[in-house]
Amino acid sequence: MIIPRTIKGLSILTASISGLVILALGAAAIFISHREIEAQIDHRIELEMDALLEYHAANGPAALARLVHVRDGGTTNGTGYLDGTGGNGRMMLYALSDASGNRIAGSLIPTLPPSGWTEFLPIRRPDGSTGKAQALSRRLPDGGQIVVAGDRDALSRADDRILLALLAGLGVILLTGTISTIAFGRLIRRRLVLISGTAQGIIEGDYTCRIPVDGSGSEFDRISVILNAMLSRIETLMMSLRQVSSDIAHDMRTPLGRIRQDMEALMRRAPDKVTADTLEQTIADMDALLDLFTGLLGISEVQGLAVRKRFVLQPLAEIVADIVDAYRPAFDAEGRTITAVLEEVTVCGDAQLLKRAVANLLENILVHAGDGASATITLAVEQGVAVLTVTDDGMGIPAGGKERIFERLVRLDPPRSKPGHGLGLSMVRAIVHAHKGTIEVVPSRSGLSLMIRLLDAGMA
Amino acid sequence: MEDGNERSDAMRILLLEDDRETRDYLMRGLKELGHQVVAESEGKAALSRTLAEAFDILVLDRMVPGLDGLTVLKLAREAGCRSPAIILSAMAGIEDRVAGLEGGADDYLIKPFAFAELAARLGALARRPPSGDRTDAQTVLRVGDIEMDLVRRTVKRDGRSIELQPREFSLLEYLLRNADRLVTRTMLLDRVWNFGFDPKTNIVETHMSRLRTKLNEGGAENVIRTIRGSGYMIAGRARPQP
Repeated sequence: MIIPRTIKGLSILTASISGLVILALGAAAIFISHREIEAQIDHRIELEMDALLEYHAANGPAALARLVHVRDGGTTNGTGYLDGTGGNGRMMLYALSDASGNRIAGSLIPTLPPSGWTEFLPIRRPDGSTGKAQALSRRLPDGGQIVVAGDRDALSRADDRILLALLAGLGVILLTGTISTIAFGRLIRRRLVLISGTAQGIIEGDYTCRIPVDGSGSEFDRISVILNAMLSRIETLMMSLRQVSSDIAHDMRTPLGRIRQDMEALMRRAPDKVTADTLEQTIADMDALLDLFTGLLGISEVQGLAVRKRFVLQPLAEIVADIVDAYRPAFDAEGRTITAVLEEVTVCGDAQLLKRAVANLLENILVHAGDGASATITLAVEQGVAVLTVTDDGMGIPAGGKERIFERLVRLDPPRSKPGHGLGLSMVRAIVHAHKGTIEVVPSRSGLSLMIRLLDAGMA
Repeated sequence: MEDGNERSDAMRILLLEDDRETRDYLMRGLKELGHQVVAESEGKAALSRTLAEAFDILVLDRMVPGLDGLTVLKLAREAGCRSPAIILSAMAGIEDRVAGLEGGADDYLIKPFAFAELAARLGALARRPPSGDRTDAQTVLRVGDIEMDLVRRTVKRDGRSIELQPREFSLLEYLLRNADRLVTRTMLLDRVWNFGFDPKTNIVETHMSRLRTKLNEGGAENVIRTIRGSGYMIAGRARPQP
């Protein structure tokens, strides 16, 4: 048996089961009461039959014929709880025939049944309507036949009433069940929305988000309090991690600053050119090391999403065009071309970060695409999404590089001969993610093609 | 090799720096350039100084005892101080830089830095009119035989008209405004390209070489000097490129 995992599924299952139980109970009630009423009718038929047979034995056939005639033609009738339930107040029907089968008395039973019990015997009622009856037929000692029948009308009416009551009950139960299920679902959903809203805030980098607690002491409140405690712990850890990073950065930069000062001072008093060049190279190496460090911290900072608080509307085409213009001479100088086809679109973001992302992509082509590789940049708006595609016709990336290309410190050229730390595309991805966008490698005929998708903020 | 740090107009500088070695080094360097330096190692003292005395420029470290450098600057700005300010800091994050500039700093230099970089930036800042009443009344820049009309966006050299791309124009304009001063690569990235980051490609050099080609067309002498390892300088007085 599959147990549903959603509240909706569980509610439907519960409602179905209770509905089925009610239906089963109802069916049982109908069956039992039906049998009981049938037994009552049969019992009465037997009693009347006995009475009539005794009357026959005591008074003879002619008296019986008269009695049957009177009873059959009578307008009042019946005893017990079934009184008055038959058509026109009639409940019992009688018929009498002689040994040769001629009808002596009783006109409401068109066809006389054989001896013994007959169910669903067709009858006519005094008002002319037809119906079915339970009938008991007996042979008289003189060879005649007597029939006593009870109209089943009462029985079917009773069945109808019970069925009606059952359906009404079922309706009420289903209605209240549905309403309470919906209310229950809403209550749960309302609380879950609060929890998921908080979780979304945390995912987006706001570690101060907490789940609201309404003080009701409900299960939700209790779990919210526990989750909030967990979030506080995470926030504390994140804060101290950041503090450590920035402390390290500070504590490292201060002594490095002193070293740099000393080396600069030494360089000025350098006795010969070799010494001066060595010192200069040492300073350059130190700067490269710091650059790597700054790059790594920068990526973490962008991933921390605090940059989002400064996001405003930005003309993306202008930003891209600016960077393309800045890099055009660098491409020209190597005899390479850079082509841009840009459609106007507004995105919500940080101009410096967007610039940096585009610059990194172009630098990636300059350094890694191979000699003579040209770049094509297109910016198009497709269904509310700004699609920036940066493609080169260079040597592309090795198979399996598609997933690793955005990882930190990954450089796909095997000898790691090219300059750089392998942080450029990691930074691009961090920036794109901070802008709630996506970046992926898309198939291209040659070289590497990267597609960035950002939400078109001009649509709102 | 030429010394890029031209002896410029002397300035009165407030230096807030708590690290003694760095403070001494900076003081020595700045004094060598002919500036008058008042050094403080603690925030509150620096703030009182700023409010009591007039300085041409403020050089503030961010993480110092007492008030931090950025708060000193904010309070000084609120009190009406309009001297240009440069923040020196080991806080190198993207947001740190933004906070510094939004806090009223005109420039933000991350430690460690080359002394030549600081000197060049101080020179450029000193030239700026005090923020707030920037008039830009000057519509024509003239350096040597180069003439730039800022309104009509035209450039002439020795009467010969030179066609420049917008970015080349801005580049030349910045060099002309800072004639006879060292202008570093990062300053140009900052001010001409508005790059708040350091690209790995030398985009300044490629643009500079185009600008030079255009300026030197027809065999004119090269006016934009490259100061090795530091940056560029446009010479007001005609002098031959070594």
